[in-house]
Amino acid sequence: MAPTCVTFPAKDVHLHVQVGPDGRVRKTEGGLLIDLADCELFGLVQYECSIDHPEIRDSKVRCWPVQRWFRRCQDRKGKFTVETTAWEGTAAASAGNTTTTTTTLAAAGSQSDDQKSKQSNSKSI
Amino acid sequence: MAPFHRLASIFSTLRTRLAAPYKGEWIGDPLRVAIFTAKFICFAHLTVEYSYTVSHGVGPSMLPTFEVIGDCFVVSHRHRFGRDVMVGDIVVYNIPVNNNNSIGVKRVLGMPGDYVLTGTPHSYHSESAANTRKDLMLQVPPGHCWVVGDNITASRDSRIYGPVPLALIRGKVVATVKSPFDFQWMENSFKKVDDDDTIER
Repeated sequence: MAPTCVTFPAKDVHLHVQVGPDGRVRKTEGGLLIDLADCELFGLVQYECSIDHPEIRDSKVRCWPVQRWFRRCQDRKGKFTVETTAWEGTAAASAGNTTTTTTTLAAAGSQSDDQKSKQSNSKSI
Repeated sequence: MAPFHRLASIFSTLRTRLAAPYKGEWIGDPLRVAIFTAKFICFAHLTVEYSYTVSHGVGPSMLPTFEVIGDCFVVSHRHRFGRDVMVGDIVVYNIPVNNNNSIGVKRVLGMPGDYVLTGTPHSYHSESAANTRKDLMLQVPPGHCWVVGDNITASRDSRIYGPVPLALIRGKVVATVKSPFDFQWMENSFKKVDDDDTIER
């Protein structure tokens, strides 16, 4: 089975992408931190399907689209994909530029509290 | 007769039998039939494990890409062990929590090092749950991938048993065969979006 994985809240993903799988800070071409909002945007559609009338034989099955968003970012080692379905539209995503997201990971806790208050005002996706 | 001579005579009979010209009767020499069978089994094994196979899936987890029953698809085993598999591809893999070698067919949402949602993203269908849920994410560990069925309401996948080892991947679905006359190459549905404004809130 898979090794133990650490989960984190989706709204903090812009902080977690700064650290690679080896636990070190990712290196980029310009020496800047990775800005999720600047990465290429990808979309993938999945579905929620349900039977219209389960009690009727040969009832229609309808599928409702669920849009998932991804960002493909690049560091010196190559490209990696980040799912931003829950992150797009949060305060951090709309702030968008590197200067606001470059607060160090140590300050992530206080920043995320800040975001929480902002996020409650903004609409979620 | 000395044992050596007996052995030599057996070998010479074998050689003459194997080198015997074709006499019109196909089955006749049990030895030839046995060798032919062995060759056939070896060849079939190589084909099934390393080239392409056509198989079919049953279940609602990949609606509407695959029907619940009756759809066949072509699996490329060149992509076994996750070789050249990209996000958005549909893979065929051994389900890690079942020990009877049952096969799953799901879409890959994350390769090693990628970040994915561990839960289910909500649609407007289930908006009431949207405000209370906590969206958690994880980074897919090295050597693993994250698979989720297209019909996210009726799929048992990585959301239940976590990241799937790449070594369990048997191949990638490259085409669907809905009927003998309906052959379609599989298209990767993971597409680049040029305009950021398409994201609707």
